[in-house]
Amino acid sequence: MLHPLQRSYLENELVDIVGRANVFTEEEDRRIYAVDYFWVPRMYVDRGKVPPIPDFVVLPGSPDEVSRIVKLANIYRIPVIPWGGGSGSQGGTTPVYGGITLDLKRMNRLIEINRDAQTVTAEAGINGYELESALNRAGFTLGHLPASIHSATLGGYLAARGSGVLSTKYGKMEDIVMSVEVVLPGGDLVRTLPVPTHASGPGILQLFVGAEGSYGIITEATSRIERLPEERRFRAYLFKTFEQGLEAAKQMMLERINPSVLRLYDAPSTRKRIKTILGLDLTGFYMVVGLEGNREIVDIHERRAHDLCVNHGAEELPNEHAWQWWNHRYNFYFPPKCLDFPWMFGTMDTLCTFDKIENLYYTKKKRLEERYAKWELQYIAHLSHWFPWGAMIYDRFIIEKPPWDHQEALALHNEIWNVAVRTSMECGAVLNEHHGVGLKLARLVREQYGPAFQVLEGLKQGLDPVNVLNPGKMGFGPTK
Amino acid sequence: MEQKTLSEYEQVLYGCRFCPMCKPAAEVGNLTQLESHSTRGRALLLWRAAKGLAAFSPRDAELLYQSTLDSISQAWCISHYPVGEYVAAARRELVSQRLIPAAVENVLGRNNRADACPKGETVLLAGEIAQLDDLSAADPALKLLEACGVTAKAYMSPTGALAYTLGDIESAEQQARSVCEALQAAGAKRVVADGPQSLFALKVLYPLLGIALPERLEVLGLADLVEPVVVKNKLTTVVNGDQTVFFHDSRSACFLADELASDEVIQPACFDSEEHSGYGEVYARPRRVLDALGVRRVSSVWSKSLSRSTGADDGLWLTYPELASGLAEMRLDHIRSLGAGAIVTDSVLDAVHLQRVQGSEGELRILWFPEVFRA
Repeated sequence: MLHPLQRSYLENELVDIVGRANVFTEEEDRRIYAVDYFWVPRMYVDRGKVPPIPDFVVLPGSPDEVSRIVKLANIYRIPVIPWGGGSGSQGGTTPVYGGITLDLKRMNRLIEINRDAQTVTAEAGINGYELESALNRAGFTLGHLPASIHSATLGGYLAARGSGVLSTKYGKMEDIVMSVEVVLPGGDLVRTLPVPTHASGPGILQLFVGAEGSYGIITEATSRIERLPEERRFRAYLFKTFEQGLEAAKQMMLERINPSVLRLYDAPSTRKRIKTILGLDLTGFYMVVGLEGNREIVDIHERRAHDLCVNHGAEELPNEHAWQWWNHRYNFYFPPKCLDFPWMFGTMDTLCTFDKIENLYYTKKKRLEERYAKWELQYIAHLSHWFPWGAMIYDRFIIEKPPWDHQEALALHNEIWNVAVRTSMECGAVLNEHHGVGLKLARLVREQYGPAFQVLEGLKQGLDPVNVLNPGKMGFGPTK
Repeated sequence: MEQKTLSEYEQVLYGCRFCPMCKPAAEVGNLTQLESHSTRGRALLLWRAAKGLAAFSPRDAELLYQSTLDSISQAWCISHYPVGEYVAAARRELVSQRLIPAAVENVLGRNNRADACPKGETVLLAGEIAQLDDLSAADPALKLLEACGVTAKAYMSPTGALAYTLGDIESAEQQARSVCEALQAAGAKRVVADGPQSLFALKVLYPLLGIALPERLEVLGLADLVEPVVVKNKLTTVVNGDQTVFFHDSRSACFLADELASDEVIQPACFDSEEHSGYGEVYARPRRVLDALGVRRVSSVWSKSLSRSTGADDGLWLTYPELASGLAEMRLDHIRSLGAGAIVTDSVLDAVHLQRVQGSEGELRILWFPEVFRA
């Protein structure tokens, strides 16, 4: 806890680094940085309570400024929490111990599109939509199109190992990134190797990707880019059973058909979400299949994908439904169509190998619906990110009438998450697939890794002995 | 457009308060990158006020005026939540609570000169020009009207639009009444607005305030009179054949649109087409005029109801000139990136402001709509 006198000296030093115009101490500004997509601080605000707020909001304009701020934080032993677009859902930016929220969005330059190497280099604070628009103008795409594209930043994509709607073809962000520039917890500015695959010792790139700012603050990244596809096609199908849809999709992946989109909705999702967003009244399991790239290759893959679906009992729907989904896929996230208060809800995305998916889905669904029947918990799911060895279940819980009292609501919320994540782990899945850990799941990281957690902890202690960078997240404690 | 109290927007603010989806459309928010300047940040503080959880603070007031009315976010939102309206409602409350920042108070307290309305059948209402306090700025419009066979005289007066957007309803009503009475006394049968802000005042604001225009007064924009003449090949342009033009819509035009942008625009790939950025004659007519003149145009999704403010909108250049200059720089950069050699805008305020920020050595030719035509 900083004494007001010490606070004013720190403020003075921050102003020295970034200028008066980029340091904010008024409560009105700090409150706004307390809330992103994480349900808990939103719930606090909704109930008229005050969530954790930072002591300072600082907007650096360069990696050098970030470095100087981090060095200062080590001297004052004050937390530093990186902030991108404010679209994180896990509490990765919740300033539980106060500190300096470092909003990186002034660092938003697109540095280079390298047509020969097919890479793009940009500062971490660049907005996802702006980056993708610039790439499209040049005839390329990042291949990473998350729901949060309009608000998220490149740094945020990397901090949480994000997935986009085309990840089945182009990979997750950890596959797309080639190298990063990072300010280490001691303040040194470093760069990882220029290529992500090598035999030059352990890869430190993946140390920073997904670390949510706890091992370093990403200031710049180089990522591979793809040419805009010559052809993009979608098909829509309705399966009678989950198993049939799952098997058809699995065969596509095993045959390396490489769809860009493979999205299988369970029956409740088909009934509710597809109806809400697309206006389609369907009973069954709705699937969208997307294919893109060279026209001849797409022709072949489309024929095979279609045969697999039909051979597994699917009814083909007019493909205008699939195009409708594609053209309006961001509509799900605008009010009043998005999930919103007064509901309690959460996306519990996880992934596992093919042999475990059915058990994972049914076990989690049954356990959550039965255990929280009193709260009329709804469980909806779709599978949307696929790998040659398995798939991600993007499952959600919804409680339409949660407790009003904020402490009761928090207790229920955390209990549901405990049950959901532990069920996932019990069924051979992991803590999370693409939203990250943050504050929400920090307490479960040690459980997930078991004795292997000492590897993460050892790295943290070595790099950040004072624990200034984003304390309280990833299973690490407070600033020392 | 409606005039409600802030608390009547509580449900709308409930939806906006946590939503970051309109980030690409942010104006001051994308200039400073401060979350407090984002639509979401503003909605969060407004929801708390609307719900009675918190009173407005001086910093809240500052944040609410360090912005345009943010109608661009309203256009971007696929649900078209009335962002501009709730910001206007909040400002009305701030004025009534005497909580407005000094920067705004100085503007509202200015002695806004209103000339006498000249007698005549057709009057050019120089409402935007009143902000420049220079009647000679109306000359290009008067010359254009003459070339179209319309004899008109300029009547410079604040219309009430600026006062309305800054939240001063009393002044807005006073100025509105004054304009209507002057037009009545002058015997005007037709009033031509000098730009979309004046047109908005006459067509939208005065009915909203319950102030009646003189009976049977015809209200027109400049493009309404020009189009038939251009179509008959009776006017030519000063724009060179090899120069491409970007048409910049002022923010006030948004309030005159038939429809705001459709949801195609939120796709990142939609960067170079204005097709879905808004609908209505306020956008279509000046474009048809330019096309009929043979002017080559470039387009951008950031047009029509998604046109990003130059900073001259909603009084920002008067209240927070530094922010307004920043917006102008961003707009000029964007237009340059499209390869345009010239900008044509429907608003004299936008033209003057962009010219001031670019400076005399700037490479973009900046023209107010009437200046497009050869004398």
